[in-house]
This record gives sequence, structure tokens and C-alpha cells, in this order.
Amino acid sequence: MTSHSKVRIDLVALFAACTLFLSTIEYMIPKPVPFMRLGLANLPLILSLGIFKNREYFLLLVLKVLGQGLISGTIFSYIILFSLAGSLSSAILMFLTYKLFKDKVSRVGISLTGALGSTITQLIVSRIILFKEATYVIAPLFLISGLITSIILGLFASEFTTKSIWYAQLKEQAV
Amino acid sequence: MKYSTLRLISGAFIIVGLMLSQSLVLRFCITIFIILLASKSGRKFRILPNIILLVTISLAHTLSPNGLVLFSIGSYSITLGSLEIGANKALLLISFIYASHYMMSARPQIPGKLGAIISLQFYYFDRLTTKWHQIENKKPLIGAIDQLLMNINENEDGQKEMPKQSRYVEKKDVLVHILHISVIFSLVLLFTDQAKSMIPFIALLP
Repeated sequence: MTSHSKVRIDLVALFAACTLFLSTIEYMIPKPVPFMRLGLANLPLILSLGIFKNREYFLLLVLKVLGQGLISGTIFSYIILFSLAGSLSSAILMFLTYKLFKDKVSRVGISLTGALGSTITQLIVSRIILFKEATYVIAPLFLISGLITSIILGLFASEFTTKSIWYAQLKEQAV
Repeated sequence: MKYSTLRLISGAFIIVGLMLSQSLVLRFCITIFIILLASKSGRKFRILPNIILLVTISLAHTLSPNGLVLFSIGSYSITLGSLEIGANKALLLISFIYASHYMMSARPQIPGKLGAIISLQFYYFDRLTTKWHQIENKKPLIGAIDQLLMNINENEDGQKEMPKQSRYVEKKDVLVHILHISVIFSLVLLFTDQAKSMIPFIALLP
């Protein structure tokens, strides 16, 4: 393994650890529906855009889903399907948004796209598997909470990318 | 087999046992056991932060009322079910943090690129949970996060932490780890429906 490859592995692992850490914080916050997500663990994914290579980004996504399942104890239950579907659609949408628009879209925009993708996918999965018609009752709560948290997350990501010295150094290395 | 690998495998079994525990009392017992194991492997244990975590999460969950109303403050009801859910979650978190330290303190090297990433992920998770409390001034937040991330590989003395060379396993080590796993799974078995029907006292526990 070359030293460059070691550095990349180290970086992916650090971001993955951050998703695990943020999943832990998210797990502490009470939610009205068990599989509802605030999306805190999406922050490392948003920040990794522009730093990670495509496969590193998707590897981070897999580690994030597994970490969330492990922390919340849902790794062996059907609830991980919601997490997987939501995370996958959200990550793909954020990735495509960033690749298509690069600096023309802010981190808030990327975060909002991700939240929208995640919420709609989770509602579809919920409609098919769990709540059937009752999904329409929880839909507004999901959409509104997703909107609010993703804006806050996006604003923080935006602030972090402009103010963090650590992040600036990473970005420099990536370029 | 390296000692660190044995610790990793043992920790993985312990986490499975933890996932299987649903009862509050059982989870409490497993948490205490995991804290003991982690303390033995070098993790500092401070009771106050853990109590604060337990109380805060339990109280936060009272926002979603569930089950028997214990008492009310105006229109705000404190329910037994929500307190139990909160305490259960807090115990799961505490034990997971200590279990990850127990697994990673010997710095195991899982083979392959993915293995290396996973073992480093848990190592960094342990560093994050340990060092987060050490940052005294968390304002400004971004500065504090920077400080944490830039010094993540440093130990408490500010020295860069180097990967440890793990020794090879002896027969005694295997027996000790089997004993650890047996304790966890015996506790889990003690709280199964069959055991509850034989020992009615356990059925009364939350």
C-alpha cells in the first residue's frame, strides 16, 4: 500500500467515524416516529463532496448506513431498509447535484436536495411496506422536519467549508 | 492469531449480545460489564458524564409521552414508557462507546483495504468520543472541531499515538475472552421468555 493510498484510507475512515459520531448524537434526540432521521450523519457526506473520489464517496455512504444501523440497533431489522433507501437516494442526488452544478449550488442547496430525495424515498418505502394509506398522515411532518433540518445542516456545512482550517487543508491536498 | 484480533472478535460478540438485549435491567447489567472490560483495557471511566447522558436522554424522551403517567407538571406528563425508552437508548449508547474502545484499544488490523478502513473508523470513533469532552472551550464551535480533528491522533500528553504491536494469543487469553462472551450471553439467556417462566422474579423486571 502506497503512502498516498494510506492517507486516503485514513481520511475515509475519519469521515466514516464522524458519521458514526453524528449518528450517536442523532440517536440521543427523541423522534416521534422511530425511523425518522434528522440527517446529522449526512454532514460528512456533504463535506466530502469535492474532496473524495467517486468510489470513496460511495464507500463512505455504505459505512454511514452500517454505522447508523449499529448505533440505533436496527442493523438486523427492517428499519434499516428505510435508512438504506433514504441514504442511498439522498447521497446519489447530492452527488449528482454537486457534479452537475459544482460551485453554482451552495451546500444548503445540496443538503436540501439530499433531504428531499431521502424523505420522498422513505415515504415511498413506508407506503409500500409499513403505513400504507396512513403514510399521507405522516408525510407533512416528514417533509417539514426534513426541510428545516437540511437547511440548518446546509448552513453549518457552508460555514464549516469557509471557516475551517482543517477542511481548507484537505481541499488543498485534494486539488 | 494476534491479541488485538481476539479482542475485536470478542467485542463483536459482545455487541451482538447487546443488540439482543431488550430489557432495561439486562441492558444495564451488560453496560456495567462492558464498562468494566473497557476500564480494564485502559479506558478512563467517569461516572458523572455517563449519569448526565442517561438523565438527559431519558428526560428528552418524555417529550413523546408513552405508557403510564407517573406525574404531571401542568399539562406536561412524565410517562414511564418514555423514560424507559430514553434510558434504554442511553444505556445502548454508553455501552456501544465503551465496547468500541474495548475492541479498538489494541489497534487490530483487519486484513484488506475495507478491513483497514473499518478498523480505523472505530479507532477514530473512539478518539472522537474520548476527545470531545477534553475540548474545554467549545466556542467558536468550528474552531473547536478543527482543533479536535487536527489533533485526533494525539494522546492525552499531546504525543502522536503510534499503532501498537500486538502480541500473539496465549491459551489463557482465549479462555478469558470466552468467559467474557459467556457472561454476556448467559445474561441474555436469563431474560428470555423460557427463563422468565422458570424464574418468575425476572418477569417482573422492566
